[in-house]
Amino acid sequence: MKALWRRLFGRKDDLDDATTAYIEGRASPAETDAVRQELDESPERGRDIEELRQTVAMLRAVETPPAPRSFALTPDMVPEQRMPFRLDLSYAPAAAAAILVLAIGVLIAGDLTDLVRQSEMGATESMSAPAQFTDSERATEEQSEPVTVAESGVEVDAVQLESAPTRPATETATPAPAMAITVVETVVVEKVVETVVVEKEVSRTEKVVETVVVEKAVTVVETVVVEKPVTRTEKVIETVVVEKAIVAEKVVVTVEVQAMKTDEQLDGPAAKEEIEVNETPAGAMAVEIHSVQDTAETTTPAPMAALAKEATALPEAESEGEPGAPGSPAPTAEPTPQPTATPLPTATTEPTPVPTATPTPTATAVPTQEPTATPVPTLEPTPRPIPTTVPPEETTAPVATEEGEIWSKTFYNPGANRGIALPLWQIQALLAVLAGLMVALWVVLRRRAKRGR
Amino acid sequence: MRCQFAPLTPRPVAPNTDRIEIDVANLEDRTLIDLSRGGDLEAFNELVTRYQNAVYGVALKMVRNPATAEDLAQDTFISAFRNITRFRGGNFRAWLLRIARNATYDHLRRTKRRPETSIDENIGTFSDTLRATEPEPEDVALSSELGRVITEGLMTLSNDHRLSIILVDMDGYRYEEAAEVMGVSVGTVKSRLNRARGRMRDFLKTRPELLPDEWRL
Repeated sequence: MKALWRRLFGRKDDLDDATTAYIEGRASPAETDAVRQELDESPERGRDIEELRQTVAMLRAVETPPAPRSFALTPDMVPEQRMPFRLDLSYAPAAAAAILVLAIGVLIAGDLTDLVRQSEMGATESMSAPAQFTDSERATEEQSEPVTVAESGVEVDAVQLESAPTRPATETATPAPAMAITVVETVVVEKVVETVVVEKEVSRTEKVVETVVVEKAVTVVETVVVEKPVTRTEKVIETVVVEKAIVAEKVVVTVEVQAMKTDEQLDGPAAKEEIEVNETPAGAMAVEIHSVQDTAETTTPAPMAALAKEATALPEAESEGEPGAPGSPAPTAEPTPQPTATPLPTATTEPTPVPTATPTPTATAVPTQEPTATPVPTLEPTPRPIPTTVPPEETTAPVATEEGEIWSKTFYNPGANRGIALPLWQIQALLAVLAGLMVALWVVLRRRAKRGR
Repeated sequence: MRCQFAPLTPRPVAPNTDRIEIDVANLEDRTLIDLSRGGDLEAFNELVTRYQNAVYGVALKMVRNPATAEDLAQDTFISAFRNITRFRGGNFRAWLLRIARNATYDHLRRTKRRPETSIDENIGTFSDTLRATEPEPEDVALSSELGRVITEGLMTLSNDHRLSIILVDMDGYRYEEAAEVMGVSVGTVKSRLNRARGRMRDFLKTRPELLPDEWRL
């Protein structure tokens, strides 16, 4: 069968092992007898095999000449070989992945230890801390309220902010007792390059002087001075949007916000206030202030607790619900002249209702109004009517039970902020993905390198 | 050269390795290879001495030019010394011959593109070499004549067929070793060998006048 297969499909010049051994002269006696028997049966094939055997014998007869000389190596033939420096690029992805993983680790460690923060977060963190004032400072501040930022050479632009109407227009006939919320902000912006969101809780009258230095691509120096007497605790979210880039010169933007708010407004549903300042002393900045009133929160911030403690220190006659008691508006609204530094005369002439819960005597310097009858005279161009259906109990709610304010400011400069502001976790995730890709690339390159070898 | 140790001293002292001389001629190939891997040129030269005839013989039969064969053999040993760390054990002679085979093939490939010498000159040179190696005048004449014919016949074969005949029939290597040198299987070696033998037989039959009387087919 094997012979048939070989005869049909085998190569013509292929020989079996016995014939090959016979040709090479290393066949055993049995193999020699078998081959010779085949040669006898097929003389033609026998002649071919015999010629092959003779050819091999001739080849073996040719002796190999020895080497004419020694090929021993000398040291000069094989000089000291220095391994050539080869930059193995296959390790580059691994190195990149290691760097990325290290960066992720640094970010995570920094995040956990609060050492690494995004600039936005840093600004928030710095401004979110409630300012601590001593009693003397608070007294000094309240005496001078509404206060204007005492920045020399600061140009002031005043804007009166009023709460959005939450009641029908028919209720505007009877002015409701309102509380004056005077917010004087001086924002000194040398260059705004990024968005800064500020959230802070402010209770009653306080002076917050904060300096935020944000360094991102360019140095950003931002000074925010906020002075605001707040008669009641409320949650105000303001957004200041600076839409134009401010380059080179120092621009001072001062926003003064005065809002008359009733207790019902404060306790009612959230009101949204928006103020747009399109013309600033610098002429290159548009400021929008959005104030959202939200009294849903019930937590009392630490400054409020201090104020509440002060409120308890008032005479009992006031705390027992009598006229002038804490939480009720002052019976006599006495206009208090504003300090000369205040750019807006409206703040000085406007009878600002101050709740009697204001513990400091300086609160009386701010004129208060009757909660139900006296309208709030303001110098605003379009004074918003104040609803008259405000329940007196709401207007006399004690300050100590109110919540603090949350201020949110956003300084946005699209011309200067060209970076990508991503949350920290997104940056870490992006780095992790890049590290994974680098590791995959490294594995592929190493496999290719091994295959090449 | 004998292995000489430091003379014994009355007090036992630490052996001074500088005074130890190793007779590399008595060492096995494996030991010499290990020493060569460490850069011992003397050990490697012992290997050269052992295998230079084999390397030179194959190179000479392949290129037929003694000077070229010497250069190829020298290059083979230099390359072997530089790359001996890549030797992973096994048949060292086959490894050396494989290097020689690669060098020879490269040379033949280059000369095929740019022929340097004529075939007749090469044949004559190889025959002269064969003649010079024969001790007896009668054998010299016989081998010279036979070598001239065989060399001419080898030139009609391809490189692979020629190398198979050189390794197995002329130098007497086993099929396995020839397969290792050629980088093919044993079956491939046998197949190439059978075809090469047949073509050599056909060549010799066409030139009976070149063969001695006792070798005429």
